[in-house]
Amino acid sequence: MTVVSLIREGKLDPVDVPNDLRRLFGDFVVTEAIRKTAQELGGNIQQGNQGYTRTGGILVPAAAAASTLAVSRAAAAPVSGSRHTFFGDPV
Amino acid sequence: MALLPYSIREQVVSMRATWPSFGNQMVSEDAVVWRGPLKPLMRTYDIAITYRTDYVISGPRVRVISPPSTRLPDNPEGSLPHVYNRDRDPFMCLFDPAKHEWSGWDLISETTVPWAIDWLACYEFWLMTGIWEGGGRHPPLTGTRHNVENHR
Repeated sequence: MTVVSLIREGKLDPVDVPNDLRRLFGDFVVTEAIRKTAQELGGNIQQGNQGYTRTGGILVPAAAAASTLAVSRAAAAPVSGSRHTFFGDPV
Repeated sequence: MALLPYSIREQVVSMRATWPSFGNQMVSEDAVVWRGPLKPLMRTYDIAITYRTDYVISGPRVRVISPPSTRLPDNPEGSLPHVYNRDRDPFMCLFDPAKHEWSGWDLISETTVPWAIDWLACYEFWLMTGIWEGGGRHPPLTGTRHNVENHR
């Protein structure tokens, strides 16, 4: 099974994904793709623009429009994103 | 706004309607635990959400049961960011208590579960980049934790 298939099926720990992808596609494009996707996702979460699927998936506007993550209304959860502030114990 | 917070039973009914993949176990009349899967982006996580009537201010406790959390030692956000009890049985911290973003007058199905998905999505990218892109803040080391437990 290829690395890409393993990623799609959720069988890899995310911490291992960057190096596996770099071996396939090279350092620069993979680093940039991950960085930009992370920032886009985080920005949408901070603004409360995200949506969800019934299976607990997250949908951000750009990703939904640009990829196969676009889901039908039936698959979308009946809740919308809202702004909140992550907190926690002191670092 | 209603006079009283949502009851456990009302929270259970709403969870069942919105997130049917979550099952619940009534621990008592005053406490419930939901278990179910969430798959934000890459992996499927088995999640436990514990709620009791005395969590009306502090909020439900959301834990990742499996897979085990991966940690990044020496990360600026901590080895596991935005959690309470980092070193022992961590649970997600999904809102800033000082901002009054959650109370028992909110439905867990419409707040806690979506916010847990947000947390997991940020966590997956944090594992890849070492940067938490979801915003938020950590209290200062000398600060007190602003929740109901400090006032007992």
